[in-house]
Amino acid sequence: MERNVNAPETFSGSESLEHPSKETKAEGVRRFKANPDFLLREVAGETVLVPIGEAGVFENSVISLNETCSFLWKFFQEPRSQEEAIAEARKEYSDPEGEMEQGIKDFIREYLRYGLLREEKQ
Amino acid sequence: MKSWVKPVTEVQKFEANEYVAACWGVGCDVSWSNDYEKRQGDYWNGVTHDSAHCGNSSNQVIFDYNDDGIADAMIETGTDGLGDLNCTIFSDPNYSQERNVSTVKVGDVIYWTTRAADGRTWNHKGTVFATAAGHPNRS
Repeated sequence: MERNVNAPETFSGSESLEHPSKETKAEGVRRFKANPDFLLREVAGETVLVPIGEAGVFENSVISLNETCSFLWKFFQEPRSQEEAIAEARKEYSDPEGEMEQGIKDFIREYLRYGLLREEKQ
Repeated sequence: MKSWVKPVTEVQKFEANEYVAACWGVGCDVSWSNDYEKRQGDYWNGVTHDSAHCGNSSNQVIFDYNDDGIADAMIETGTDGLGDLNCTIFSDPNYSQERNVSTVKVGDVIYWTTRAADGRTWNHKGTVFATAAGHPNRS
C-alpha cells in the first residue's frame, strides 16, 4: 500500500493538503497526479518505483528516487498543482540555492514526459 | 529544516536472465491488421482482429524451451474458439519473407500469420515485449 500522504512524518499536516484553497481550484489551474501503475517502495535502503501495470519504457528497469523526488511523488498521489507543490516543499525544505521552484517544474515536465505523472482533466 | 536538493530519478536497466526471459509477448496491432484483412477481402469472411484476442499481448507467447535465450516457437493462445495456433513469422508487411523465430528479439516489429483448421489465415503485426503478463517466468 502507498504511504498515507497525510502521515505526520512525511508532511507538516498543512490544511492545504486536504482542503486546497479556492484560489487553486480556479479553472485553468493544471493539476497532476502520479501514475497509479507505479508504487513507491523502500528496497534495500533505496526508494524505488515499482511498476505494477504496463511498464512501457521502464520495462526491466529499477527506478530510484532521491529524497526530494520521493517527496514530490508522494505529494502528487492526489491531484496537485505545481504551485501547491512549491508551497508544500517550502514548508519542508530550505532553498539556499534558489533551485527549488525550477527543480519542481523540471520534475513535473520530465515525469509527464515519461508517463509517471498524468495531468488531470479539468 | 532540510535543505532542498535537486530531484533526481535514476533509471537502471537490467538484463533479464535467460530463465526469466523465457516468455516474451507480442500484441497484435489490430487496427493495422484489420485494414490489411479488408484489403485482402478476408475481413468479411470472419478474418478479424480484436483487442481481446490477438490484440492482447498475453495471447501471443514466444517460448524458449531450453532456456538458451533463443526463441523456439511462437504460439497464439486465447483465441476465439480456435484453440492454440502456431504462428509463422515474417520480416515484411507483405508476408513474403518468412523469418525464423530464433532471430526475434525484444523490441522487434514482427509480422506473423495464424491459420485455423478451416483454412482461414490471419495476418498480424506487432512489437515484441520482454515479458508476457500472466505467464510464468516473467521478470
